[in-house]
Amino acid sequence: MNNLPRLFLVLFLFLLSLLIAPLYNSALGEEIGAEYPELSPEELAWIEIPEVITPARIAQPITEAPFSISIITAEEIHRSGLTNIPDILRRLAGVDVMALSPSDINVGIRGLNSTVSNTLLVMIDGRSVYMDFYGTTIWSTLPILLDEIKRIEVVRGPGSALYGANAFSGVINIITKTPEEQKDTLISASAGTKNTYRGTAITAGNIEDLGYKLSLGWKEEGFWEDSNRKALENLIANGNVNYRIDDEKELRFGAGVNSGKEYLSIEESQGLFKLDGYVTYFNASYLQPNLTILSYWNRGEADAKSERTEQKTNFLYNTYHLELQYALNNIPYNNLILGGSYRYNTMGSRTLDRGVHQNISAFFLQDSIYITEFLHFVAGGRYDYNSLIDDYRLSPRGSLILHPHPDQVIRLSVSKAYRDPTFLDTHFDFYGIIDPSHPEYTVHSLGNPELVPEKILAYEAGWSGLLTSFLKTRVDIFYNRIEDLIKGLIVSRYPVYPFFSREATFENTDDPIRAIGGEVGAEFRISEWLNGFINYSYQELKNTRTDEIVKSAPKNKLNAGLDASPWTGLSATISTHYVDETTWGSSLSGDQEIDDYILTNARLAYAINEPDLELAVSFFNLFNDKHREHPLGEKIGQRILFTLSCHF
Amino acid sequence: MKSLIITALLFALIAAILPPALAGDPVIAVFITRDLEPHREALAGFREELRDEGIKAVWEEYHLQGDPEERSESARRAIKKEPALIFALGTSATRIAAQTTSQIPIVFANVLNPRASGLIGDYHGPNGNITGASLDFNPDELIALLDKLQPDSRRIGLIYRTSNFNGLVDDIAAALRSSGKELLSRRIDNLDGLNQAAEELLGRIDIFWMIADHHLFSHQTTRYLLLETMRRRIPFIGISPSYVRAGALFCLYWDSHDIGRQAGEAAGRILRGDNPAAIPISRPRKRNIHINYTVASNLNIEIPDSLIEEAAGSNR
Repeated sequence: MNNLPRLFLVLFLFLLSLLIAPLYNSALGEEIGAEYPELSPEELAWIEIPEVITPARIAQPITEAPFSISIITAEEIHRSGLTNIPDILRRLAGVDVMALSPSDINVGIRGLNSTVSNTLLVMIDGRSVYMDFYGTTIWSTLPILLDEIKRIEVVRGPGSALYGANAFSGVINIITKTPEEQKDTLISASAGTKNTYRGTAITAGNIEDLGYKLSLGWKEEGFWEDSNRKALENLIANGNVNYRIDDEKELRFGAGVNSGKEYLSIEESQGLFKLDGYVTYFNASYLQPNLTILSYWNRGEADAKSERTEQKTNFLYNTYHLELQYALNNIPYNNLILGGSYRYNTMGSRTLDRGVHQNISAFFLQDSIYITEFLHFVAGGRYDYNSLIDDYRLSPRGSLILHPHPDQVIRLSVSKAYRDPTFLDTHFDFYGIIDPSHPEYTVHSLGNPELVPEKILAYEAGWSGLLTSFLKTRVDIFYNRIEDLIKGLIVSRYPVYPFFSREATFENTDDPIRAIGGEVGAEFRISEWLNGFINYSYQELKNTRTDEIVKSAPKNKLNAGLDASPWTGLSATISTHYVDETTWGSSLSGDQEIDDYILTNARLAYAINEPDLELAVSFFNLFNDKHREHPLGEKIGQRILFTLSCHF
Repeated sequence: MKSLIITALLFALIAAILPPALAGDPVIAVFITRDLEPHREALAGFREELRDEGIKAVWEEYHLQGDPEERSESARRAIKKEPALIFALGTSATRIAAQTTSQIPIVFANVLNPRASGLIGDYHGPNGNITGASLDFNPDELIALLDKLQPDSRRIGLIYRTSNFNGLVDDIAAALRSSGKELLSRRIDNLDGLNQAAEELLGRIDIFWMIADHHLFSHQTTRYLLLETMRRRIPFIGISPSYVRAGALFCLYWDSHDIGRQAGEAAGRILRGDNPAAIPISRPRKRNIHINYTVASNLNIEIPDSLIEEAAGSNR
C-alpha cells in the first residue's frame, strides 16, 4: 500500500471535481428520474436503445441481461486515447489487466489472470479469437483496429452455458461497425514516445444492397525500457462485405490478417519469446431475425524463439467452426433460443509430441420465462463433447431477474462452467534449457492426456439502477468455487549443480479455490459537458484446504474517470486506476512481490468540422508512476502520443 | 499611368477572388447545438435546395456548446453580424435563436413537436420570425397505417409526463375521434406513477402510442413499457427505428435530407422577400415505414403486402 497517500490525493481531487462542477451548471438536479432531461424530443428519437448480444446470444436490453455486464462504446474508446483493447478494459470493475510489454498484455476477470491468461472467451462479432491450442488471447495479434469497434461487451462470470469452453471467468465480445455504421473514410496517423507509430485507413460505403468496409492499419512500438528495440510491429488488414437480401435477411462475409512480430513472456526460464508470424481468418454468416448461421476459419502460424536460451519452436493451427442458432419467440411469455455448433481444431508444432486434432460438438438451449411484469427467469445449458479428452460436459445456468421499479433491476444467478485441457496441456513435449551457459541441464515438459477440465461453480447477485437522472449505480457480489485448475508442476528432480535437470508435466490441482468479492460502481453526469465514472472491486481467492490466500489476484482495485467537452471542439478525458499489491511465483526467482500502483491516463483533443479533423495528445501514465505489473514485465513509465485524424 | 493600371488590375483581381459576401450574397448563419448525423444530412439538403433554386449564400456555422450563457453569447455574436437568415437545426438551436432575435428570420429543421416546445403557436401560421420543417407526421397518417395493420383497434393508449404535450395529445385525440377511435391517455407527475398508469391503461387499450416525451422515456422506462405491452400482446408504436429494433411494432420515420430541402424551400421564399410568419410549418413529405416483423409475428399481425413493399422500398 505504498501508494495510499497518492491514492487519497487522486480520490480527493476527483471528489473535489464532483463538488465544484455543479457550481458551474445550474441545471444539475433540475430533473430527477428521467434519463434524458436535456435531450430535445427529436434527439430522443435518435438515441439507440441499448441492446446486448453477448449474455443471451440475442440482442436484448442491457437490463434484461442475466449476468453482470458492462459496455464500452465507440465514443468511449475514441475519447480514451488508448491504443489497445486491454488498456481500454482497465476502466471496468472486476476486470484484471496486466501489461508486461507493449505486445504482451493479459486480461482476466475476478482474479483469474496470469501470463498467457487463458480463462477468458474473447470474440470479435461472435467469432472466437483466442488460440484454441492453449486458450489464450494474444491481444496484439487480433486483426482489428480500434476505430472499427462499435462497442465492447464484457460479461463477468462464466458463460459456458451458452458459449462452451473458455468462457470460464468471463466473455468479451467485440462488436464491429457494419459498413452502414462506419460509412465514411477515416485516415489517422499517430506518433509518440517509445518509437510509437500508428496509421489507420478505413473506408466503408454502400452500393445499393451491398455494403463494404476495408481497413488497413500499421502499429509499431519500442520496448518501454529500451525503445530502440521494437516490441511490436503489426500490419492489419480487414475486408467486409454485407449483402442485404431483403429487409430481414442478410449475408455477411469477412476476411482479415494481422501479420507481424511481437514478444511474449511465458515463463521466467525462457525469458522473452519472439513471435514472428500471422493470424488470419475468413468468416461467412447468414442473419435473419430468428435464425443465425455463423461459420469461420481461424488460422495462425508463427516462428517463436526464446531470447534467453535461443531455443526455437513454431506452431501452425487451424480452427473451423460452424454454428446455428434459432430463436423461438412466439411462445407466450417465453423467449427460447436453441442451437448447435461443430468445431474442428488442428495444430502442428515442434513443441508437441505429434500433430493433433480435435472435434468439439455442442448443443445449447436457453429460455427466458416472463413470470410477472416484475420477474423473469432465465434458464439454460450447454452440452459439449470434446474428442481430445473423449468426454462430455453439461454447463447449466439459471438466473432470476427482478424489476422492483422500472429503473431498477436485481439479478440472482448460479452457473457452472468448464475449461477443457488444450493441445499444449495434453500433448506438450519440449526440452527447455534453464541456463544458456549450461544447455545440458533442461526441463523436459510433457503434456498430460489424463487431465480433466477445470471447473467453476459461480453464484452471483447484483443490483443496478438509475438513482437520479444523473447517477447510474450498480453493485455485484460473487462467490466462485474453482476446482481442478491445470498447473504446470515439477514432478522429478536430479541434483546436478547449479541447476537441476527436471521433468515437468501438467496436473490438475487437488485444492479447490474459493473466490469471493464484488464490484460497486457509478456512472454520473455532472453537467451536460462533464461525465464521469467511479468503481471499486474487491476480490479474495483462497485455497480452501490450506486457507492460504492466492496472492496473484490484487485484492483492491479502484477506477475513476472524467470526460469533459467544455468548449466547442475541445474534449478532455482522464482516468485513473489503482491496483493493489500482488505476489507472483516464478520458476527461478521464487515468489516476487509487485507493489500497488496508480496509473493515470489522459487525452486532450481539439476537433474542427470542415474539414473534419481532430488533433489529440494522449498521455499514458500521466504522472509517470513507474511500476511493474508482473515480475517478468517491463517497468512502465510515461508515454505520450500525438494523433491527427481526418474523416471525409 | 502604369501604376494606375496595375492598381486597377489588382483591384479587379481582389474583386474576383473576394468572398461572395462582399459581392452581395446573403449570409446564412447555421445554428447547431449537437453535431449529429441527421443534422448534417438536413444541412446538406438545405444547401442543395438553395443551390438548386439558384441562391448563392455565404455560410457561417455556429456550434452552440457549453453552458446556456455560453450558447447565448455565441448566438449573440452571430446576430451582431446581421445575417440575412438563421438556419437552426434541432429544438435547442431554434430556441436559442428565437431567444436571441425577433427580427432576423429563423428557419428550422429537424424539430419534433415545435408547438410542445413552445417554438410556434400554430403549424399553419407561425408567429413572428420563425418557420421551418418539423418532423411531426400528421396524426391522420399514423391512423391510416393503424387501420391497415389493426383495422379492429378502437382504443389507443398514451402515457406522457410533460404538460407541454397537452396540445399534441388533444390533436391525436381529435384525429382518432374523427376516425371512430378513442384515445385513453394518462399524464403522470413523476416516474413513481408509471407502474400504476401502465396498469390502469394497458388492460383497456388495443394499441400503445408513444410520443417523444423525453421526461418520461429512458432506456429503463422504454424497456418496461415495451415488455409490458408485449406481454399483453398490445402493439407499441415507436417514434424511430431504434424503438422498432428494440421491440415496437412499427414507426413512421422521416428523411432528414428531405427535411433539409423542405426548410430550404422556406428559406428560399424568405430570401426572395416573403414574410416568415406567412409560411406554414411543413411536415415530412417523405416517409419511411419501419416494421419489426418478429414482433408482428408474435402478435399474430399479418402485414399487408402493400405495407411490406412500402417498408422495403423506403428502407433501402
